[in-house]
Amino acid sequence: MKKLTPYVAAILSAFLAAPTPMLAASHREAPLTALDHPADITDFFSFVSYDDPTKVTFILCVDPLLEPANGPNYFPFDPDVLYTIKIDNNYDAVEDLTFQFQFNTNIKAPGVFTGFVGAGGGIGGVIPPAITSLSGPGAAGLSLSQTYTVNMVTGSGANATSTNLNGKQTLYAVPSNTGPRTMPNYPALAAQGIYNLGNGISVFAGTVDDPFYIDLGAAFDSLNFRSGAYQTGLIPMLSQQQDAANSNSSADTLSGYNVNCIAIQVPIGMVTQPGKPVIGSWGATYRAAMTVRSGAPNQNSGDWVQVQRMANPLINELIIGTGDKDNWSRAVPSSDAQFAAYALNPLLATVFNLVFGIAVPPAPRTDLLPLVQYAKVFGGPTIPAGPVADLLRLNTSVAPTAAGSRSRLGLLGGDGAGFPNGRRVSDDVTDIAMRVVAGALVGAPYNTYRLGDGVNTNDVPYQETFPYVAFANSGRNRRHIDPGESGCGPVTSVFNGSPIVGPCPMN
Amino acid sequence: MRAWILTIALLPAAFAAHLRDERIPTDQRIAECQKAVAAAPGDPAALEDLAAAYLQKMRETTDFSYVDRAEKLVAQALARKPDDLEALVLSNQIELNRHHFKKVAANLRALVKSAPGDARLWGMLGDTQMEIGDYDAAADAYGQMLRLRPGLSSYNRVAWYRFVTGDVDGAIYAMRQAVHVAGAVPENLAWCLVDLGNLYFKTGKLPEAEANYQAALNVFPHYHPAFAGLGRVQAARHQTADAIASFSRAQAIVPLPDYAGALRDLYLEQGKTVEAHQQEALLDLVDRLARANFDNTDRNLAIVLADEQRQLGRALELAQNELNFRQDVYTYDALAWVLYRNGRCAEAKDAMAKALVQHTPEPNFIKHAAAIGECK
Repeated sequence: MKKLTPYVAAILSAFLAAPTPMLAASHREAPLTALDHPADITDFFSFVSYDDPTKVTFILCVDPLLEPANGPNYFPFDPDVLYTIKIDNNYDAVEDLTFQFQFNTNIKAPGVFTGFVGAGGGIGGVIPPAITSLSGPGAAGLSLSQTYTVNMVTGSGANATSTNLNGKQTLYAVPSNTGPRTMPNYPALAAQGIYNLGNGISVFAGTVDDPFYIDLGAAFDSLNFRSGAYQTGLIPMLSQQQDAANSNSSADTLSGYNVNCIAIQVPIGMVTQPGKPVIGSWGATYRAAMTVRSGAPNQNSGDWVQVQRMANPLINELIIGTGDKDNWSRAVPSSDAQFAAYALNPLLATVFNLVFGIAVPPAPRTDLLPLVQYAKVFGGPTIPAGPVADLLRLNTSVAPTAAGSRSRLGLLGGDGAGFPNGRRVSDDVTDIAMRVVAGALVGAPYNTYRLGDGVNTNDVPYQETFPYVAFANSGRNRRHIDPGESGCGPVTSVFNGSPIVGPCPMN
Repeated sequence: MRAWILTIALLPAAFAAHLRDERIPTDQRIAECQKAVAAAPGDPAALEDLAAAYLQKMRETTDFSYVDRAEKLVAQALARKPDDLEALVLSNQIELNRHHFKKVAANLRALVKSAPGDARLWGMLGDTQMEIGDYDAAADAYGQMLRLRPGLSSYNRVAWYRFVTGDVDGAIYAMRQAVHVAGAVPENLAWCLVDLGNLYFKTGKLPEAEANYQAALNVFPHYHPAFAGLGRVQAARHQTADAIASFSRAQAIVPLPDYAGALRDLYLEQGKTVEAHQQEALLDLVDRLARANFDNTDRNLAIVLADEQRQLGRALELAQNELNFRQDVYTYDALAWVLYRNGRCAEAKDAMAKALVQHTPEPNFIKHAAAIGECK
């Protein structure tokens, strides 16, 4: 023993104290639950375009919590993932129209240590000029660039027909915003990623500011929301003033983070059928099929396996039971009847009742059915309910609400153009979801709870024109607003303008 | 998906079951889960979250005391809620760590009937079937997992199945796919990078192997299997001093028998008999500790002892006992090698034939088979 090196002796002495044999031959324990970030859908939006009521916009966001400063390659889309947006326009929860997006990564200078580099007019023949364009002159510093194809698939299954929408254009995904030296006019650069594909279709893909907002830190701390729970003890109840404000009384934990989004805007007539203005849509991601046994095709088999889908923002983890989550992720919406029991008795309502002492409607919660069925709330009394299916339903005949009149609470706030009639980027689905689960759709007394996290809007303003989300936060100048710092109050600055100066409370 | 955020936002941490945030460092995750347990003592979901965090910590440190801690928590959760699926999944993960493969296989065959849509169950079922040598059943289980959740976890398992059943190119393809998906936990990606490095190493592609081991260390510093992988590459290149340094770093993190065996050989190559004997002494001490814990099962130690031609009776005991737990090709190879070193040629040939039945392109199998083939 005295010959053993000290560290080995220390290790062994530690083992002596442990009850379990420690050095037995290990078995192979591969990771069991690894997340798939590039295919991980964070949000899905569908709304009548604010600036053009003849068109509808769909936005699919993936790959959460992207730190803007996290180079060198930042966060390209995954070329092995098929990203799709699907639309049902005849109330059967089966897609009638699908937009497919596939990306290709090009690396011009494999020896360069970073994906994006540039300064001024170039330095010494080594550093290329600042990046001012997605292609051609001004794009020399884009060592890593991504192009993509957009296909429109009509019908489904064996009867589907596919049309490439690119035409003769090469579509470039918008890279992350490294900072002002490399990309001196990022908004102008990002705007180049908006393409007109003809026939009234516009498309955009790239890294953008994460449009979602929430006080996640308070949520993790046993729902210890700052604007209400602090005063009242347990219940995250907003004051009347806080509830009405279009500003934040708590810090947005997702402030300063980016996410990858794909946006497409199409004429309403292209996605609806005559006399049927209501559509149901969802996003889904796929990876190529693979077989286990040798000898079967490894790649390019043409088959895809659905990794994830999303329509309403809370169905899977909030509603679906643990043993069915994977099943739900790979299922098609038209088969969602198998999961209906989960929706009719949500666990969260029980939690509210038990922990917060809030009276909630008794199960079965048929008041929640409008979220999973076509119903009069979306299309009038004559619309068929259709099957139980998680779709983001949108009545395209409802005109968009002007910016000054929009309610973050959507339909609950008397704004018929907001969630759950589709979902705009600004809709506060966290507060809406809490209130709906607590029974807001049933009426009094359940609709009197002003549940909320105190984050009522995004940390940076959205755009009023396509693609509606704010462009990406700068890596060099990114800022995550923490409790105790300035950054709350009305969000009035532009993202590269004056900082928001209001204090974010610690409590 | 965003729903995980919403759910956490809407549920108290104690109720935010099954939403294990893989993005935060494991120590921080443990601290937050401990707070949740303290806030809601006895809540099954909180207990399960903490147990899952402990099991991830065990993966990262190979410190099995975390398994014991997890086991106590899971026992509490099951006492409250005997049919809780999360607790049952964790319970079987713990049993897997204790190498109760047949028991776990039986449990999981029952569980997949009640929750056929849970990819984890199929993955674990396949893992147990690989360990007990039921490769056809493992392929079916992994196929179900792949169907439910294509990604790092399922691609990694497909790669492993393909390698064991003789398809190196298919294995490398699938493992590269697993690496490409990356996942959220650095250790998980590092695991796949080391696996990919091992596949390259076993097929003689040293530069590719080295690059993947190095990449694993970049992703997850102080990852002992990556240091060991680098050590193997350096040893193959006769860079003995570098190899010793790499294996020593691996050993400083976890003193596995394989590392001691490799270091002993490397020191002997350098003529450093004192250091080589220290490694032998370490192995003997490890074995004494195991005996004190009534643990007489270890095919890895058995192979190292057989390589060193020491304590061959003990090596045979360890390998034969291992066969009671698992009957895969690796256990048969270990048994064959130990029998050979014990001079029991006929039995060694029988065992070796069973090791080779899947045509696994494992370099040690080829080396052992060649020696045993000459045994009279």
